[in-house]
Amino acid sequence: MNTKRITEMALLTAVGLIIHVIESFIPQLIPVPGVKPGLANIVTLLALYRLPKREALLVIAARVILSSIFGGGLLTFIYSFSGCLMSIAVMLPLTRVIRPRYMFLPSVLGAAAHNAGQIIAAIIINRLPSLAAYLPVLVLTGCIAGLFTGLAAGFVHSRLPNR
Amino acid sequence: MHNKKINPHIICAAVCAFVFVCALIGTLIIYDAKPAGQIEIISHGEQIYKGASVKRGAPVYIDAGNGENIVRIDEKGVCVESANCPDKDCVNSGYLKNTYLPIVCLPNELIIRYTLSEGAADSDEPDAISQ
Repeated sequence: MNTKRITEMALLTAVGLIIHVIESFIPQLIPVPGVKPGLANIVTLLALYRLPKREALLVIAARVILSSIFGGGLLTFIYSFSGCLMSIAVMLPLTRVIRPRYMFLPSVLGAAAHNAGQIIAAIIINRLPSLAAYLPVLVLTGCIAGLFTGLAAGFVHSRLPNR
Repeated sequence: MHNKKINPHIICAAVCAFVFVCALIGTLIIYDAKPAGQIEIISHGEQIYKGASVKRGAPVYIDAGNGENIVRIDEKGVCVESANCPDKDCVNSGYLKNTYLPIVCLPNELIIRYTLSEGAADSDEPDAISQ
């Protein structure tokens, strides 16, 4: 791993963390637990498209762990981790076949999967299957937020120098 | 025989559209559900209140989780009056108005929901309060 790549990884992690902290100050538009713009997904997409698989996963893991330390506790980590795991499981194979220009497509499905992962975690933690009722609204808002973050990530990617 | 290769972008876009439409239909169905039944308050996996969803006269305050959340039951219904969680989603949710969508405070593991039980009475008196 060369210095340039380490620097890029560190920058993506730092930017993801800053976005996460700033996002926590944005007032919630819909009073539904788990509904967030998910702006840090921009960094996840950039990492997946610009870095090799292993390095991209390292950046995402670092961001999730550090975000939980800065903005919450163990529960925050569990929700973030479960959402992230589902999102990566969906986005990683898609980033191999979808061109960066259409980055918003894996982003939409990844955001929906992220929210589904968080609902699964909430059901397990609270031992309450009826929480699944939140799934449609969370998937819906996830699709909209994913489209926005995907377009934003595509815009940033097109303006960064090619590797 | 000529095999036409399917464009992965079109498949992915179709899946996105399908997921979006399903979620939209599901959301419309769930948000259409009217409140029914009794109120149940669950804190850290334990039921701490079960009873009427409205309280005529002076409101009732229930301390859920040693001050983590204060739940208020009044003539309008049930809501979270205050909470020490960082996002305050539960407070911002307002009054509980849907059978399927409970008020949830994920950080404090609090759930307030309607529960359908036999012989649900209109009485103001709760069936059970445990603190």
